[in-house]
Amino acid sequence: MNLRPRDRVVLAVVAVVGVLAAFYMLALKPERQKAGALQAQIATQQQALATAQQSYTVGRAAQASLKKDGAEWAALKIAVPEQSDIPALLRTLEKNAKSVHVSMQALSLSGSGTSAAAPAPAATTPTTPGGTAAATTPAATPVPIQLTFGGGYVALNKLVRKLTGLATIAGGKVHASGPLLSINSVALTGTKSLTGQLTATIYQLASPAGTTTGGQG
Amino acid sequence: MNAVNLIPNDYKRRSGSVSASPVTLGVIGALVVVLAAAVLYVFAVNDVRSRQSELTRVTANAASWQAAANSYTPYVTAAEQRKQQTADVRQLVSGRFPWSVLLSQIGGVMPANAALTNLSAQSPSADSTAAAAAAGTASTSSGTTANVSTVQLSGCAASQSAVASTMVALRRVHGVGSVSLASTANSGAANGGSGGGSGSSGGGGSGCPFPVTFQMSLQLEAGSSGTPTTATTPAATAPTATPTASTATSSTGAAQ
Repeated sequence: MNLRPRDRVVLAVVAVVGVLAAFYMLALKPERQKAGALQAQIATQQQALATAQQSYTVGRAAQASLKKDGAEWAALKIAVPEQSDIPALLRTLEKNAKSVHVSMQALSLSGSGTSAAAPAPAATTPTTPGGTAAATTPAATPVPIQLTFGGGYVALNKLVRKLTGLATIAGGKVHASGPLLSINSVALTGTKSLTGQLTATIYQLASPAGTTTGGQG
Repeated sequence: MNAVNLIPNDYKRRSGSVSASPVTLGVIGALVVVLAAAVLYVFAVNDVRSRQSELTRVTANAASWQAAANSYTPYVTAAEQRKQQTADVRQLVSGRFPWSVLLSQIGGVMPANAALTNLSAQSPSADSTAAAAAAGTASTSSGTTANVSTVQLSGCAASQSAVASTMVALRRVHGVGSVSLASTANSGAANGGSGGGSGSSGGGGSGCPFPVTFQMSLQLEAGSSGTPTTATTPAATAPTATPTASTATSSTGAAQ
């Protein structure tokens, strides 16, 4: 079949266009799609990188704050311990009573689930590398107590101030030299030598079922 | 002199035919197109390779940062936990009733010719604040306002006037909204035992140095709980009128 020169040219042009289209569809376009997908993955990973860097910064800040607030945390552990340490409370009460010339007469635990004889259960809270509690612990659980003291009005008032001052807030931070004691009611009877009955609440982190005395008897 | 073209005719024809040949042009054009396509392809492949390497680098970087961040997760958890517990304990500490301030002021304002034999009081928000704080919830003022408490006082005084002075003095205690007299009775021998009040049993008793016994109560204002106050007595703006003695049950003459 003889083709005219013009037809040959048209045929050649069509062939070239077809080859170019096939090249684009089979070679160039897949590569470009691959590059686009990779770019999307890069963006995702960059987002993850930014998030990880932010988490790292937050973690470093948290570690620094744990170190910085160590003193207040220690005070908090004294004010609200994991388990209420009744023997230590007794010693603290008697020591403060003696210091203001008040005689400590009685202490009774009136809270439900509070046992004065059961052994303290082991702490089940796992610790972090920094020695800090990592698991969520319950909020402070109140442990009602009743205290009876004997002494003068001024001395009993001093004792109340001392007991209240075992845990205080100064400069925006909690300072504690003993358990946090919230006095709910005060009853003073007598004339010169008064008998003071205080109903108060101490706090612990453990649930009421685990409320025991800690430490040595 | 005539100019003569010395270039052979067939040479001139050959050079013109090369530049004008469509086949040659077609081949050259095809080569250019192939070259351009190859360049495009190489660029595309290189782009893919560079992005792959960048993806590998970014992924490894993110993984290492994530691992580093994960190592601090316990600290973050502990810090959040501490923050919560600190807030709870601060609330407990700051929400306590200022008992020593109240007792100091009561002791400070008592007249010399009167004495207390019995004082009993309950914190205005003893239960509600403790329960709310223990539950980790913010305490609301409703618990305080709904639980306005009283301080019950029993004692003795040298005279009925001394009882009245005691009431006026106690009214000056910071945080006290009103002073109510429940009973007063002169049970001492000096007055001949004129007081027959049955409600005065808790007032005098043994050891009370004065003959007139009384029972009264101080109504604490709602806002006085948990607000640390200084031990200074307020300015001398005590009401001159007799405090509300309308609740007296068996008085032998209220404060006057």
